[in-house]
Amino acid sequence: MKTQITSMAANLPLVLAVALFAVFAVGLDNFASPQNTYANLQSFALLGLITLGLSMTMLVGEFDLSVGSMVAVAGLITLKVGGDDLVTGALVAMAFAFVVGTLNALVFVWLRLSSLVVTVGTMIALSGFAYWLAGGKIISTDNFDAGAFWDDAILGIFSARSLLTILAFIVMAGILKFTRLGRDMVATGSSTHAARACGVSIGRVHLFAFVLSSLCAGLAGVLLSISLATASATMGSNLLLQAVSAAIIGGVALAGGIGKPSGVFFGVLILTILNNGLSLLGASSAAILLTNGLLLLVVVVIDGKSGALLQIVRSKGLTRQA
Amino acid sequence: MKPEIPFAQKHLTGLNKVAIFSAWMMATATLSVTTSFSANAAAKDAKVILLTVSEECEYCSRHLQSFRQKAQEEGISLKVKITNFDPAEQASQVDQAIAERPDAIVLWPADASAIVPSLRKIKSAGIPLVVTNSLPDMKYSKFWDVYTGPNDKASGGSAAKAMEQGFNEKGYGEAGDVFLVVGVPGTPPQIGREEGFKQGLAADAPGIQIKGAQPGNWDQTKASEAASALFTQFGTKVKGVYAQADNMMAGVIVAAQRAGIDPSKLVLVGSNCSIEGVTAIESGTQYATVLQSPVQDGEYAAQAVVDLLNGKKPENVRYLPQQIITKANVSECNAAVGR
Repeated sequence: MKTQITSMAANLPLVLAVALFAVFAVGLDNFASPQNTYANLQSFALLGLITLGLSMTMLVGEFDLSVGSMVAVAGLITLKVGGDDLVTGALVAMAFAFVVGTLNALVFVWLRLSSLVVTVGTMIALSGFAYWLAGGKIISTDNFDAGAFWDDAILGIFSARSLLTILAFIVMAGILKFTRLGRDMVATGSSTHAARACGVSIGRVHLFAFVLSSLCAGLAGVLLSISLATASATMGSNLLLQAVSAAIIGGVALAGGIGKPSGVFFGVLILTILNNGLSLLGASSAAILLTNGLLLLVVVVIDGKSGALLQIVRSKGLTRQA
Repeated sequence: MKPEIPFAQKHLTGLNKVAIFSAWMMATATLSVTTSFSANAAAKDAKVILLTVSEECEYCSRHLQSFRQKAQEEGISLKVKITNFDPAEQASQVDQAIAERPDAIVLWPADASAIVPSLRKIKSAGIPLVVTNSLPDMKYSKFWDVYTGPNDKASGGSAAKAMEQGFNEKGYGEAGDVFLVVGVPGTPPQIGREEGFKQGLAADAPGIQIKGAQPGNWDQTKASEAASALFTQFGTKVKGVYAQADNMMAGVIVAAQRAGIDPSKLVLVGSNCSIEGVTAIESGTQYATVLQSPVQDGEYAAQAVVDLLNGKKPENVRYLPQQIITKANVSECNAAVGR
């Protein structure tokens, strides 16, 4: 019973993603077509990178609210510094993202402030920096070849951008499963005190999580600006809430200690598939937003119920043993 | 004794799940086929996708209504996708629209610069394309078949003529100070209208000097705040204001009244012929506006797509008429405000 409930909760994102895909594939002519699958994976690529980074801070029991602003700043740096030489721009943007992630972690660890407070400060500062960089304009480039490199279809449904995102998920899953750092992250999110007592370097874990989150958002911003050949101060402003929703739907607990890259992968796919399918059905943007909210509620309730069931089973088991 | 582990949990580790899904995607890839799009389908029963920017702004919603009506009259099967001025989301919608293999796409760019890579994709897919309302840089005009919509520079030029005309009618002669309340900085209408206005004044009324400009971001409240600051700075020296949209001019009028200035004494020139502007012109508080009808904007786009589908070759660029509207001809705005 206990394992069945655990299994149900763990596999909920996968089951939901497959079910949604199946429903839309049966009900809509074009949904499973290679072209539409490409469109789905392109949407997945953008949201996936941000959600992956954000979910790792959630896994260690913290939160990084600055990811949306980082997308805008990284995009602007890529085009402003790089001009037509987007490789240089991208490298500078990623270096900047590394510095911001490190600063987030250092301020959080040294001053022992809430990560929400620290990263809301970073979010506002980055937003101001983005407006200053943009100077009231939209920054653009005529270098469309770079965008074509990242976005042109590979095998009909993938692109270099979506493959890179999938690779990032696989690498992160490997880190969590096979390295001590990964295990330390889960332990820190479950109980910081217990993890510290077991010799886990909490500071190192937080540093890794915040830097990773910032780098993922930075990379998403770099790729988005290259893809659109444009950057602006408002780019990515809608992504934070979507990423939080995808992470929660993907089974990441807000309290920390629970969550896997595979779950997050399917959490992002669920939102992507749902939005794409509803759009193909001709649903209005209001209806799509409403459905996203309802889905989040349903997943939270199912997750909560299965968690509660698990508690009951555990307590019954303990009573029996006693 | 070990508890029995369910099959799914035992075998579906995180990495395996990703691998299974990737394999599924790969299987779908094998179905990939090159599809050619029929460029010359007749308009009746043709499948057209309209990618537009918002349902919430009044202009956008009137544009959509008039497009829908015209499409319905022509028997077009229309699908509408809306984004809230989000260029990243619109890029995804373009990918999706291409996947639906429509007979034509009509696109209102959320951002006239960021849309260019998507225009390239539509062109590569061979789908006829009408760009409406926001004109991307003309150097990319090879990526679309027709642009219909406003000519923002000409609109600014008309506003400059209206300002000059108003100065004469109100007895200020050929010289005086004015200020500008502009839209979201960096957007094509803000840039084009400001450029046209400045060039128009420099050419025909060099005595009228622009003393300041503040963004009102197409928003009445923000415009009111911007105008308050400018009225405080320049006071009664100001003889005229150009607000790049009538709803922003409504904010300017409120700011003038709060500053103790009678708005009817000023030469207030707005733009768009929206209901705020029409009402203020009728009551005499606003001097003029420049017609830009959302109804015509939508109709022009629909007509362009009908022409394309029927095999005609419309002009590459078709601008809306943008005449000066004052109290004498305010009835010209009736269609634009749904009267």
